[in-house]
Amino acid sequence: MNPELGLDNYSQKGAKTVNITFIDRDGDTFKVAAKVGDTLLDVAKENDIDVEGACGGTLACSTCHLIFEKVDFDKIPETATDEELDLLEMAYGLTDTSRLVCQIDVTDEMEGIVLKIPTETRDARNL
Amino acid sequence: MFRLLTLFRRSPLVIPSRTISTENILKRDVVAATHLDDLPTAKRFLGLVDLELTRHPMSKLHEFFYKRSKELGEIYAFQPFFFSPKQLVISTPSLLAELSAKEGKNPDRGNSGFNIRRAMEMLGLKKGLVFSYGAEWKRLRDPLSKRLLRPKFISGYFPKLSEIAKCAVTDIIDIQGRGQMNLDPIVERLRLWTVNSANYMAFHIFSSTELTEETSEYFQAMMSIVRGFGSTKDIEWLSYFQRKKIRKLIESLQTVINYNNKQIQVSATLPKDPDREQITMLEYLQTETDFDEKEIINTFISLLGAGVDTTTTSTQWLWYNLAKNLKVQEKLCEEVHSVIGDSSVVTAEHFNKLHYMKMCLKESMRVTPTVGTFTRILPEESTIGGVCIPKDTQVFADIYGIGLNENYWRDPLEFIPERWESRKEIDPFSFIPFGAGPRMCVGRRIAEAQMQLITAHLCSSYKLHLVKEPDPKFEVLIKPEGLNLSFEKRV
Repeated sequence: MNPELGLDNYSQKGAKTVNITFIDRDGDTFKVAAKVGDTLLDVAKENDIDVEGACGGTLACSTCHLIFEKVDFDKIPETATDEELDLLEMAYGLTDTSRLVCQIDVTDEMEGIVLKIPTETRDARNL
Repeated sequence: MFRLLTLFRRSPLVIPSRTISTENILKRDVVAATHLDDLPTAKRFLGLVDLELTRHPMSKLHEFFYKRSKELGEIYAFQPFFFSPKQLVISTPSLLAELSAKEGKNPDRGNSGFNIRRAMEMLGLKKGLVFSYGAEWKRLRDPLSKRLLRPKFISGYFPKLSEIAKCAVTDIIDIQGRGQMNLDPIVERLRLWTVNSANYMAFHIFSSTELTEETSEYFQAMMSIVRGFGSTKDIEWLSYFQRKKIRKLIESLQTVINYNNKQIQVSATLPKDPDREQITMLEYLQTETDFDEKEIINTFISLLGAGVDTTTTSTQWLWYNLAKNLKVQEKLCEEVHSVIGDSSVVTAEHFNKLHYMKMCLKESMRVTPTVGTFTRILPEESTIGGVCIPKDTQVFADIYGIGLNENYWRDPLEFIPERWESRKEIDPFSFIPFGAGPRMCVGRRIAEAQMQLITAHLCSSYKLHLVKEPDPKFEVLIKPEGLNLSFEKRV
């Protein structure tokens, strides 16, 4: 709980939330409240985190690629499907703990996880 | 003398001004970008005489880029007519990755399908999902992506799609049981299967399994529409000679519109099941998007036009590869049995475990692709592989050629699904049959699901045998002409 940021385990609408931290390309950190049940891409978009998600979270591109800490990576309930892996492999700066976050729903267990935006990116898409 | 003639025939009829490898271009890029005009150029026509005709009959057009790249390098210009603007052909995974990174947020497919566009215009239809670009395309595409691509959403369709596939398998076996030696009626039944699946998702209509005259006409119309995609803008000047073709396309479009209108009417009379989990695609487009009536019809034409023949053809290729490689087929059969067991329905949970099936499908689409190229037009003047290309240049990605290139694949002509086990050794851009990025084939997930469901049902009870090798034939899609298979009941 962080009273300063007004973060609370329950958002205004009453949906349960957990605290998630994004680290952007410059190394700046953003701590946000993520609604349980939303996808991690929804969370990033809602909080204006610089994650592109060019295909709108429909598993057609790899621009919502984020890197997890190993310990957090293991908390994701569902491992990547073959279909996700096909696209994930096209991502720039791929690591062993990479995922496409449009495919991951926020769960209670994700309290405190840290997500890193890869520094390598397809610059042209951000023109 | 004879020998000399042979030599002459073998020498490239396209005279390469010089061969440039990508490596050189990349090096040169550091100094100054090469321009599209400086690249060696593949020409299909000189005036009206098809220079390549001797080696490239129209029925083998899918090999055109593949063969040209062996002579001209991995990146070269393409000029279908002497007066047409130069286009760019790329045939390496890294160039494809670069194209993908530069295609922008609302990628443009380019200017193919000239005749079909004219026919649509004359019927008062707008560009629609296939031909629109920019913000207009995004408006049409976004609502469809949500309903057709999200794995969690489409998994709800699986039980019904599985039922429709099983029904098709039963019919196919029945057709063969009648001593049918020709694959055509089976291909027709496969088309009906894809249309039935689409009708279920679009209208909740569980169509009949009988091939009526009406559906037959509809299929013919759909196929002529697909062939209409082969025409490019270059033939605009020939429009006098194209009139007949365009008239035929208008008739075909009208047949398809009538068919879809009828489905819409039928679906309006069906009682609504209060327990159903999802509204139909039609209801969704009517209530949750700003699409008008014409746009809705246009959307169905686009989805079916792009989905029926492609899925039917890719399924034939997959079955061909399995029939030809019995060891693979046995391994697949074992997987299907161990995952699905006695269940008569293939669920999403089963589907996610059919790993070898997915490898077989990928391998089949690599070694015997249905679609040979995809095209893009970059939003601005840009560079690809260090080559400066003007605005509005059409870029062809030679996915057929990359899939068969020995630089990226060991024994490229062999059907070896196991190669997909070592994912890290495969450059992901060396295999993109559906494209990648925001404009990836919107029917991809449905098509993949359909093909795997029907193959799972088939393999669990029948063994496929190859009776006759097909001859690949280019009809916009690459089709296995003359393919003949037989099905043996497993005991």
